[in-house]
Amino acid sequence: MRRLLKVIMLVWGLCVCMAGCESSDCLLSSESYCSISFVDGQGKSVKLLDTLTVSVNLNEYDTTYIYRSATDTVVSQSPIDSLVAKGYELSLLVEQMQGVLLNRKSGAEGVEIPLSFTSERDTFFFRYSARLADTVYVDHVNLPYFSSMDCGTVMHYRITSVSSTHHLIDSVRIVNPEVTNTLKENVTIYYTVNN
Amino acid sequence: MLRSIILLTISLLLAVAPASAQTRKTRQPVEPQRSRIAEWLDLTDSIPTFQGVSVITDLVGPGWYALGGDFFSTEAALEVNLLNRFFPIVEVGYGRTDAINEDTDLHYKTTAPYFRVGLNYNVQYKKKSPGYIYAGLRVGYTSFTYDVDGPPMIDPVWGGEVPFHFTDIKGSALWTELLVGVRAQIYKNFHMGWSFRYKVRLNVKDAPNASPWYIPGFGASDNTTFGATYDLVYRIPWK
Repeated sequence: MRRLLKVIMLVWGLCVCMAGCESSDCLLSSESYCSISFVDGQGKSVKLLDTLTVSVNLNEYDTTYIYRSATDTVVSQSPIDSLVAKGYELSLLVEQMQGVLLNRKSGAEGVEIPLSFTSERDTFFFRYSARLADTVYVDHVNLPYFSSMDCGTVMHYRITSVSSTHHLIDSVRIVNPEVTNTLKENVTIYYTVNN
Repeated sequence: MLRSIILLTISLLLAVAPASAQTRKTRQPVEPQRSRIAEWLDLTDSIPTFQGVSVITDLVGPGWYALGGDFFSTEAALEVNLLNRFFPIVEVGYGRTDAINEDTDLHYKTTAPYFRVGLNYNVQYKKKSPGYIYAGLRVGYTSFTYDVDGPPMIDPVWGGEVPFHFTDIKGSALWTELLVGVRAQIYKNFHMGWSFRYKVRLNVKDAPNASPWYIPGFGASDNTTFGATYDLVYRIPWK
């Protein structure tokens, strides 16, 4: 009888081992970031000597209201209906808002950047100095994901392609296309390093 | 004959010692090997192998739901008594949930049948009493579809929002359960008892947009979970 119980325990133990030890608790981060690392031509990690600023054109727009009369011009960030009643002519200036994701970081070896929920192509401006910048394009599929009732929803992405300009960047490569809220390296940027 | 078939089947399923014995002495006649298997399993009693059939239903699933739980399940089982010691069992059930989380405002809905097969082992088989303590093992499987919807997802950086509404997501799950329980006779052929179960997921099919939160027959979709049954048992009269 004891032998049989031991065998049952052994079989069940093997099944448990097969199930693995994955945890199902909520992760600390409910946002997914695309992790980008910087390397040289040999694949060794590099630190940027210049400061790095990463900015994006957001999906939000800034509207400026310009009211003109024969003698006067009024510029406002909100509409002024009384000026139209007085005979002022209204024209709108709509500008796409820019967001700064990383501001003048020194010695950057990589960045973690958020991708858009709604767009399937994001454009990132990597500015190294006043005169030197690169643009990185990330194409992705957006995957709204339900993790659990308690943990809520999170946006996952699958990167389909990456490309860039080549002022300081030599090339870009996808390492892991799946962008989730468990941070893993997704993209490698190869920089041209001058000895 | 039936007894011989059962002995051989159990020895094939649990062949650790017998297998090593067979590899050492492959030209042994069949009958002595059966004797060794019987000896190894301590099957020396001369009682009939077939001791009857029981039908079982669980009261915990409906009771838990009636007390305000998110999950409803009901199940029935058919159990065969062999030698008053081995109890092969098939459990068939139905589980459903239609829950809303007040914190995240998420809604999850699923309804599906589930199946388990396994074996109970009477650890007090020598006592010949109608009540006993047992240990058991199950393997469960279910195939189901589920709906998930919630508030729109608002992009905190880029701006904009996307709806969150998915229906008929296909999922399946395979799991195992280790359990202990007791049975006691309450009146003639009616018995009652409980089992306490430790469940481990073996394989769960995820979808690109969701992992199942509730798995019928398993429960909340953690990697491991605990469960319990309170069994109403009817032993079908035999002989």
